[in-house]
Formats: sequence, C-alpha cells, structure tokens
Amino acid sequence: MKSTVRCYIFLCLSLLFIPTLKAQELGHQRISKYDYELAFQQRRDSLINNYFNNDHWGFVQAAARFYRGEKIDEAISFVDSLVHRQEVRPSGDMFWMYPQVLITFTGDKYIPDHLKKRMRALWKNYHPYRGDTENHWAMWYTCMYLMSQYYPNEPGSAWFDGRSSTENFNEARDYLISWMDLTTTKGQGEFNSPEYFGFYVAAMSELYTFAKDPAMKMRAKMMLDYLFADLAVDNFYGLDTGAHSREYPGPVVNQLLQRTTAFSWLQFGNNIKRYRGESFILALSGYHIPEIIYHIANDRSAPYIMEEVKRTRHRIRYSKVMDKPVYKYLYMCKDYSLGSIQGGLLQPIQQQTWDLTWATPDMKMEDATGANFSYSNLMSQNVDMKKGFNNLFTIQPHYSALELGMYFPEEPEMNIESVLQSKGTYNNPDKWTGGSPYERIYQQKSALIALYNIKKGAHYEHIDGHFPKTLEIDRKNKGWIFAHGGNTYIAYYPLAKYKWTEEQDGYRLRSHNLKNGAVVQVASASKFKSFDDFKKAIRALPLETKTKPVPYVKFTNLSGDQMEFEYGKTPILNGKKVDYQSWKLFDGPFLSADVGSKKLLMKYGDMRRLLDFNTLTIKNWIESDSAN
Amino acid sequence: MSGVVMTMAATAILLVANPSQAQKKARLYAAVLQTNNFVVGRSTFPSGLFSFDQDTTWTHYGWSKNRLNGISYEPANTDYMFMACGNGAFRTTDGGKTWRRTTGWSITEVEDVSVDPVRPNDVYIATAYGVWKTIDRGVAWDSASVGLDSTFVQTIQVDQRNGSYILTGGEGGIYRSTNGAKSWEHVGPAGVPVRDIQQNTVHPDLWIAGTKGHGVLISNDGGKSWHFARGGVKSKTIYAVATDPNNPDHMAAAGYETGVYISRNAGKSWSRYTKGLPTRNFHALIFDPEVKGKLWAGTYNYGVYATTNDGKSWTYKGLAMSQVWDLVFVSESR
Repeated sequence: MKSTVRCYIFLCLSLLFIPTLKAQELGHQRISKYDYELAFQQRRDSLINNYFNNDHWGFVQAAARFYRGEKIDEAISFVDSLVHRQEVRPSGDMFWMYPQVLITFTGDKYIPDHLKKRMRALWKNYHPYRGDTENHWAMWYTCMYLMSQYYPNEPGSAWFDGRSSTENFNEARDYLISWMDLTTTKGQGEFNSPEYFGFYVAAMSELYTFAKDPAMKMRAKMMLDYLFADLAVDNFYGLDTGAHSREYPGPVVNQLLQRTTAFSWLQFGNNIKRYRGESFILALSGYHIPEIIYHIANDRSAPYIMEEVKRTRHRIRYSKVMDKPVYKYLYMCKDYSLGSIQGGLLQPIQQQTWDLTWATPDMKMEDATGANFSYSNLMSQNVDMKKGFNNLFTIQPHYSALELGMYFPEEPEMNIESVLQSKGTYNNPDKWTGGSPYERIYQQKSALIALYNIKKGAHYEHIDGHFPKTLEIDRKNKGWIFAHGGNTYIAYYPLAKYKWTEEQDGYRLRSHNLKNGAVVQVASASKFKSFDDFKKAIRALPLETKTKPVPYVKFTNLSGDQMEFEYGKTPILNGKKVDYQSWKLFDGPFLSADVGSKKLLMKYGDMRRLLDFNTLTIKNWIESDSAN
Repeated sequence: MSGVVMTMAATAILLVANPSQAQKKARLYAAVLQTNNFVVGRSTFPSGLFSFDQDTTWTHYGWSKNRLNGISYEPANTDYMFMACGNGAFRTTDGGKTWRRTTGWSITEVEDVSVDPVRPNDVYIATAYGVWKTIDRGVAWDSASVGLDSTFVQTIQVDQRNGSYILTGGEGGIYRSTNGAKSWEHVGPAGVPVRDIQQNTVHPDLWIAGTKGHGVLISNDGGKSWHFARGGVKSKTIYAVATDPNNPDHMAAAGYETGVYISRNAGKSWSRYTKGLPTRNFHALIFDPEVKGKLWAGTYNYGVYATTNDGKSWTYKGLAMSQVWDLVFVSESR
C-alpha cells in the first residue's frame, strides 16, 4: 500500500513536468529593454521623418509638421487645401473623419482661428455616412467621441446629425465600450484582417492620444495591446499568416503586399521597412507594444499551436444565430505557418479560409541587438527564392445573393451588382478570396484536410489550389503532390482529378469534381535527411479517402494523430470528436482568454501581462515557476 | 437646409392624403440612392430625399449620403417627417430644411418607417434588427419585436384608422399587432418573406403585400387573412406594391426582373409592362392621388417613370442613374 501510494505520488509529480504539446521552449534571446526601446524609437523617428520631409499636401504630412513644431506655415497651407477640397467636393465618410481629427488635434495651437472656423463648419455641413462594417464604426465613433470632446457643449444645430455635443459624445462612448466588450467576450468579427487592421489601430491610437477621459485612454491603450497581441501570434517574420476575415486578392497571393507589414515593421521590428498613414498615426501616439508582445511576435524558435474563437459579422437573416463562432487554428514554427478556420460562409466576400506560408530568405526578423537580419542565416540550406509568393491554399469560388443577404440589408438579388462596384472579383470564377458554403476545413498541427461538397448547379462547380512558382514541385506520380519551398516540405493529396495550369503568379490546380478535397501535410526539411525521405515517409502514412456519398478522409499525420473527417460532421481526433464548444477566445502558449472574460493574459517565458477590461487595469509580473 | 434642384435620379416618396384633404395639393417625394459609385468613402452625387417639381426636375433635401429607404409623415402637419436610413431614423420638423438623427448606435439599417396618423408622437421603424417604437417623436426608442420569428423586417405600416393596429413584414412573413407593437402575431402564409406592405388610403380594409418569390398577397379584411394574387405575378419577387386610392380594383406590383405588373380586377389577373421602360427592376410604385390612373414607378438605377394609360407607355420623370427606394405623396400643409 505504502509503495503504491509512493508510486502514485511520484507519477503525479512527474506529470507536472512533462512538457505538453503547447509548452514553449525558449530559444529567442531576450533583449534589454534599452535595446528594444532604442530600436523602436529609431523606426518611429524614421516613419515620422518620412512624412515630415514629404512635400505632398496631405493630412499626415501636415500632422508631422505640427508634431515637430516645424514648417508650420507649410502645414497650415496643407490644411487650408484639404479643407477647401472638402468644402468643394465633400467625400470620404469615416476615411475623411480620422485624418481630419488628426490635424485638428495636432494643429490645435498652430491653426489660425479663421481656418479653425472653416474646419468646424465641415462637421455641420458634411454628412459622413456611418458605414456598415466594424472598422467603419470604430473609426466613425472614435472621431465623433473626439470631436464632440473638442467642441463640447454645442447644440444639435452645430452638428451634421442634429445631435448635440453631449449626445454625440455619450453615444460614441457607449458604442466604443460596447464594441470593446463584444470583442473581449465573443471575439472580433472582422478578425485578423491584414487590410483593415490599420483602421482599428488608427482609431485606437487617436483615442489613446487625444481622449481626455483617463478611463477611455486606458481602454484605447488596452485595445491596442489586444490588437497587437492578436497580430503577434499570427506574425511570421512580419507577415500576417493563417486565416483572415477579409483580405484583397493581391496580398492573398503575395503577402508582402499586406498592409499589416507596416505595423509589423514599426512595432515588431520584423519585415522590411514600410510606411503607411495609419502607422504614422500610431507612431505619433507614442504607443509601443510592451516587451512581452515583442517577444511573442519574434520568437519562432519552438513550434506552437493557437486555438482561438472569433465571431462572424452580424448575420441579419438566413441564420438562427447572429454571431456564429468562428474557430481559428494555427500551427506555427520557424519554417512555416499553417492556419485555418472551419469553413462555410463566415464573412462575406473576402474571407480567406486557410493558408500555408513558409519562410524564404528575404524574410527578416530582429535579432537580440535590434538589427535586422535575414532568415537565410538560420537555414541549413541555401535556397534561391524570389521575394514573396510563398504561400499555398485552396478555395471554392462562390458568390450568391444568399451570402450577401445574410450580411447586408439591401435586396439580395440586386446586391451582387452593387458589391461588384467595389469588389470587382466577387463573381469571378478564378478569384482567390471568399468563403464557400460547400467548404469545410479541419486542421491538426501541421496537417490539414479540406473537404468540398459542391451543390450541383452552384455558380462555380470547381475548386482551385494556388501553388506559387517559388516552389519546387513534384507531380510525377499519381496521388501525392510534393513541393519544397524554403526549408519546408509540403505534401498535397488531391481527392479528385485535376488540371494543372501555369499562370503569371503561380500554378492553378483546378478540379471540377463536385465532391472534392485535399489532404495537406507540412514538415520542416530539417526533420528529414532529404526530400525523397520526406516523400517516402508521407507515402507510408495511413490514408483513406472517398468522395461518395460525401467527401471523407481518415489520415494519420506525421505527428501520429489519426484525423477522421467526414463532410458535414464534427471531425474526430484519435477517436474523439473535436470539442469546439470548449475552445477559449485565445488558447496557446502565448495568449490565454476565456470566452466572456473580458480579459487577456499574455505569457512569454516567465513574463506575464494581464489586460482586464472589467477593472480597466494592466498587470505585469514575473512568474516564479516558468514551467507551463 | 434649403434643397438644391437636381435632375439626377432620386427615390420618390408619394404619400396620398385622405379624402378630407383632397383639396390640398399633394407633393411627390422620393427616397433615392445615387448608385453610381455609392461606396463608403467615395464621393457621390447627392442621394436621399427629393421632391418632384415638374417635368424631370427634383429638389434635394437634407443629407446627401444616408441610404434612405423610406419616408413617413404626419398628415396633420407635413412639416414633420421621418426618414428610414441606413444610419438610423431621422426626423425633420421644418419640412426637410433641417434633420436630426433620433436613433443611437444600437439602431441601424432602418428599412422603413411609419408615423401613426392618429397619434403622431408614435412612430414605428422596421430594421434589420427588429421593430422599434417611439412614443415621443424619436426622443427615445424601445425595441418592439416580441413575437417576431425573424428580426429582419423591411416594411411597416400603421393602420390609418387605428394606431394600435400595425402590420410589418420581413423574412418571417407578415406580422400583425393589435396593441401598438407590444406583441406580434404571424398572419398570412408561412415561409413567405415579405418586402413591402401597403394599405389603400381610401378603402382601408384593403392591404397588399409584395413577397420574395411568391408574387403578391392581398387582404380584404384589414390584414387578418391573406390570399395570393393569381396570374403572371405569382412566382415573382416583388419589392413594391401599390393600390389606387381612386379605384380599389386597380393595383400595381414590381420588383426583381419583373417589369411593372398592373391589375384592374383586384388582383385576379395581371398584365405585364416592359415596353418603354429602361429596366425590369423596380423598387417603388405609387398611384397619383390627383391624376386618375397615373402610376409612378421608381426603377433600380434608371430613375422615375410614369404612365397615364395603364402601362402601355411610359414617360421618363427624372433622377437618372439612381435607385428609387420609395415614393410618397405628401399633402402640402402650406
């Protein structure tokens, strides 16, 4: 009995020290706070100087001059031109509002009264539309908050919407708090959008800089932390990888075009130098990420998994649930990033459901001293690659009145034509963005299964796969397609026959089978003696597929996990159904947040940072026990 | 705010006055969306509220970019109007010169509005997120969606005789309230989304509704029971319906790829008209209260047209290149 108890105790204690799949292995050298701050300030100065030295009469150019307190006459003439333009042909809605807020506040002590009067009149005579997306409202209400703070106690007759300063201020404050609460309880709707991330940052930066209320300032700062922490875990040498709620076609196939690269460069110090107006506003705010986020964004020395819960855009019809959960999964290591969401129509028009990105020599990250260095230093092989074009994914191109009707109130039958005015590829059969009601995805670590059950008569009865030309591709044998990019080996198993076509930006794999899919297995090249060894290992993996009556895959991946996935059913992992309902808002070695919590815990080594929106506090501490 | 004379397309809102006000001139208003380049952030030609002057000229009022979907007014005081907009519910108390957004952030995508003609402090809006009601002309709004299976509602109409009696329609079909929107009950056929509901202003027991994919629904008992109109309109998606205040047997319906359907026998049969019209897509219809048999039609992207011979020929009436979302005649109180 005694020995049994001793064994039991020993076993329990042992279990405490067994590293879990999500344990973080420290390999990234921690830099001193001084080095980190110095490097950031140098980037920040470079960005501000860029606009200060730019002679174009724009909002950020004027604000740079006001900020520096130099070339003020020039700045005022810029403002005069901008105001005149808005007086003559008003436009921009919230995209006019936030730059206007920027110059109003930065130029407050410089702009002469007669020009200020004209600026004031714009807020009475121009009627900026509030918009219909989450980023529109973040900008619109931030600006209404700040401008009604700037012009306090004015009656409704002084404003374009007939509401007084107090009414506008209170409404804006209430909305902003509501949005922050929703984001930190159910997840962001317009999540991880490389295109629109900057607009949230611009809005929160202005709120952080210009709000008088300390509580709102704190909220803004915490939201900036939140947004950058969310970006950091997906950040792969400056690229924003994995699934996205919204992205445009160009950056989807060449991620160096992503707008988030400007923010990665400024805050994380990785990626090539990029300047954007929104990152300038961030720079002006003085906000910089806490050190813990810097490490989270840059340390790719050990693989990790992130499981996250986001939400759809509000579904106003054709759905029983207004904010359906979106389950986002990411597997990240130093050589590649594989990320996905579960598939279906989760966001209108611009959804990117899954993506595999691998590192190439031109990618940069920051070393211990803050200097940029090339990824190729880390690679065991010298591989000659072109810049960018280092990602792979599949898509089932889809467009429909139902998709639009789910998310927009306009007449669904007529809305396709309206959408095409701004999203010209929406009904293009060759497009690379958009969700599909016939697509389902299941990912487990570095393996992914994509299944398609396309309805006969759908607008497009095919799936497409994007393979960039930077890959070395082997399609010699039937079955698996093998590819090698950077230090990454890729195996792709198509469930149905396909056509392979060369295009300008890559190869298109197109399959016209209604019942379709693919199995994708990724691995670091350093784990195998050679590409041939990798191929041999893949061919040896148990794989069972069928397409009728519905697509089905049973696959044991390189990690030894048996993945079983039937279209329309919950995936099964090692004999157990995946329990999506138990997922947290953030769950991984770097971030942790429960659904409904209004908190976010950041972790790196023994560093901890807790954002608590319930108490509007930020707590930092060092964990005494670093084993997680 | 004074209006600017516009010859661009607009949506006309036509509200026909009661017979007792027949002596007053009725002014045609349109709810217009200038669609050429209507993208958030872009500069567009003025959209919003327009009133018809003559020939093809219109005057613009108020906001230029608000996604105006519907208008309602108080018959006893036509200076007082409400606009249903993407941004919220807007109110004017000076005939459109100045406007105030009466709703906050929790109310958006307002698709239609109806002022209680008996108790004009009570106003109802149909939104993508349900029905809302104010009892103080928009000072405060309360949600009023109890009983709605689907909160996407697109049309709402207060019975002109009894402000507690209201019909609304949307993805869930037609709903009726007899208690001032405290609660709703489903009426009419199940599974039939409804796009527009109109009450005949002279024969108020007659109601007509446009549906998605099922044509026209008609009620002759004040909205308690409904039957499908027969004939060619049966399977169509109808965005707009109208009944003639001068002749209850005279009806019109139009929508997606339909042309204009006109019935002269209370919906038993319909004739379809496309000749002389630039498009088959329409979103607004109204019979002229002052010119017998004249029908105005708001198109999708081509402005306003009118017929005086039962659809056989059509005259262009202005607002080119715009979507016309509603047409209302307002009796001029001045």
